[in-house]
Amino acid sequence: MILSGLAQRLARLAILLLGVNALLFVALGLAGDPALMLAGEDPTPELLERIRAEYGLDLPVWQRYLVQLGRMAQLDFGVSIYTGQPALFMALEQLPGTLLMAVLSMGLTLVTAIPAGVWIGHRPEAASRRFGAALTAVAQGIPGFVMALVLIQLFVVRLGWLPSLGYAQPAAWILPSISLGFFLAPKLCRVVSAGVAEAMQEDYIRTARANGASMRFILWREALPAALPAAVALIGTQFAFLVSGVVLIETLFLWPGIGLLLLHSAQNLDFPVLQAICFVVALLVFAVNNLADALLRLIDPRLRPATQ
Amino acid sequence: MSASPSLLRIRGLCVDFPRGGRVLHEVSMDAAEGEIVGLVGESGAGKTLAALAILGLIPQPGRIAGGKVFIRDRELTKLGEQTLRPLRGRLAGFVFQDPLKSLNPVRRIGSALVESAMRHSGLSRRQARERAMEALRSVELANPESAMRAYPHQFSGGQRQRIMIALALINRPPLLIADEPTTALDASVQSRVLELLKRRAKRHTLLMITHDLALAARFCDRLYVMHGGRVVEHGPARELFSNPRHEYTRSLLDSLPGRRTTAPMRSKRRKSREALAAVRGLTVRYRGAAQAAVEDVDFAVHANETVCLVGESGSGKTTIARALAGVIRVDPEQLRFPSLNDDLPGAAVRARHLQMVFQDPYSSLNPRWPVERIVGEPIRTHRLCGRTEQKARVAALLGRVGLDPKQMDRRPAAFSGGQRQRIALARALAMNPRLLLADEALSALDIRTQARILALLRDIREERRLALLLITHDLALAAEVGDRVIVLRRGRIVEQGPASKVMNAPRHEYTRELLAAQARWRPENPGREGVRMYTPRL
Repeated sequence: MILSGLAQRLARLAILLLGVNALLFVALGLAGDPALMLAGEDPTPELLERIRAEYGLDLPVWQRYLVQLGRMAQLDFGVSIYTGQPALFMALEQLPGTLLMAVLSMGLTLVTAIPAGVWIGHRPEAASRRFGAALTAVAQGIPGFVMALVLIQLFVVRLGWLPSLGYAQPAAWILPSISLGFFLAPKLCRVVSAGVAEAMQEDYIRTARANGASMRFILWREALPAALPAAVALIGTQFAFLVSGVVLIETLFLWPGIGLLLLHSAQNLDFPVLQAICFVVALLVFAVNNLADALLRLIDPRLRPATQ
Repeated sequence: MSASPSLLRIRGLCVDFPRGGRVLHEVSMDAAEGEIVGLVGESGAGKTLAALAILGLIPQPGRIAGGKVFIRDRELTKLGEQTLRPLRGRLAGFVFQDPLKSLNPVRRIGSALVESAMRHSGLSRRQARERAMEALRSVELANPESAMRAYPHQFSGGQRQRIMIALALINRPPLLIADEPTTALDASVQSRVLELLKRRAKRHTLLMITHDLALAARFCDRLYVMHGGRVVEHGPARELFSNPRHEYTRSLLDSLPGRRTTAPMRSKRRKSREALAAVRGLTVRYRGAAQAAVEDVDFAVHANETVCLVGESGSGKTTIARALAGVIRVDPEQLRFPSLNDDLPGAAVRARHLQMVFQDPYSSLNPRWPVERIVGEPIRTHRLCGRTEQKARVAALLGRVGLDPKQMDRRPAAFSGGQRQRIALARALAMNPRLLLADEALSALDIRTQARILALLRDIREERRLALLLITHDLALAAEVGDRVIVLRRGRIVEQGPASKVMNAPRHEYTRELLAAQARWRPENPGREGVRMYTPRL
């Protein structure tokens, strides 16, 4: 049972990677000719030929596809056209910076969105809670990069309280994490508040009250657990979108991470590095989705297979 | 009663809702130590609200507008939320109607019990665990050790209700309030839970809320009858049952199965011998299920007769209905409609000649459509007539089921449960069916409405020479209205025959068990001209 589940997941992973690879191959084919980028000003036709031959760009399309597919199967993405370093190594080297920001902003999202959601969901008809709900709706409508620009303008340029670049000093971690948090926190807050509001109408809340439970206990131990599955499912599905947020935020804050590398590689048509980055990101998204699934099963006993 | 000291005292309790006005009027009530008091009435009578008001649990935005509540001479109505909260569960424990909805699905049984015990009694976690195990043992739940680690959905309905009782009693309150504790359970489970409550009631005072007057009369020492937010009558249960003074109590009593003044639905005319629907060796197995839901079932339904399918939940009643209605596909050899136009394909035969009325009149009507559209829908789908004639037909149908045709522009929300079931019936009749299938169509209705809908069904069946297949878990109802009764258990027919024979001389052990379970808590002789519960009248 467990083994077949694992096999199923691995098969899904293989299909995902094949799909990402194929899409990327087509997209890069349309993007331009890397030989032109490498050859510099006014290249001679001979030079272009030589570069194409060196990188295997002179082969027919289907052969090129099969060759890079075979390499991917061996985790060999070739070397960067620019730096000459192994592409996968470059991608992995940038991963810690991105993960640091992801973990920080996720933590920030959880500690703000969940209490806010519980507070709003507790009595959604009250005027103050309605205002809170309206605020999250507005926040959800603000694009993350606009928020980042506003924060930079305010805290870096005007007030000069915080540095905006790099991650050498922890003070510089604050703004990128907050900005990235804006991609998910309002949505999460709304899901939690809706879940709590719904749970508060359930009969088991009446049971808890009849047993003398305090309102705090009811909210955090009875209603929130019932709202959590939807929240976890949201995080699982939204994680892939968060990656696009990472590219934006890293670019704005010049944060050395996988998003910044992605941007540079795309601008330079550095195909091997792009392939490697997409491979790493796809794996990451897959891992997070599966983690969310496992977590769902842990917090919602009704999803577990019957054991009796 | 005066000998034992008073435990619960309610005096002139009034409850207001800002929009609904006053919903409880001057309710007064007493319960002595160790007494079992019944609170009886139809849904909406204010029974539950009165019970919730005892510990200040009235749902928002309702509020207590007057009156006093005492438990052991402590006035609870003058206490604030902060003082009252720790008393909940310690002065009175609640058992609610639906144990599945009343237990948090994502929390373990043990954690709910242990935390409740720790909250009130200042016990350590280990002591609270001991207390929880003891509570589970006291409600006779098998294997309390593993039950502590399990979640509510892993138990059966009866087990869940035992757990609810354990939860209500864990802080040893003097008063146990049980709100329709067995309504959501099967008959045989019902009687076991009631026996358990009765045993527990030796140490606790029990306030039992129910709409089931017969059950209350058998189970309780004293009864309070509520109607429209007022207590209309109270007294010792036996006395109230044999000699009701208030008109409302009398009408409740007259609506009891076996005592209804309406004639039974059994046909007096000779039945036609040709079967409308013939079921032969019907077997249905759901994918992934170890056991067949229905196995090797044989029966037939003839024109102008009422056949009742009786069984507990999980016995396969609804699966058979779904097979008949064509919702699940079965081998055409197993299900034939001999006297209908056999040249039509199966689905067309069904749509033309077989119509259904469902259990829940709230979810089976589209809330966005006016009644005219709901009832006219089948007419329009099958292009039976033009638009103007359609309106006339809908009006006639509504008139036939006892509704005012002028109300056909209204939506279902404007109608009561009984009226909605009439609308559903009108919709079913719009196709002029030969076979009417009613799946627990009366179970959601209170007892007086039930009697009226039954009378309507009987008249219509006589008029149109319909075959009526009634699916129910209620043996008393089946005995009252059926020509023939088919008893199902775990997907198999255990007994079938004329209603009088099955009820008076059941051959199968299971039928006897079912009858005993239903009869145990109901008076064998309600005291009126010797009408006995299960004696069918001709």
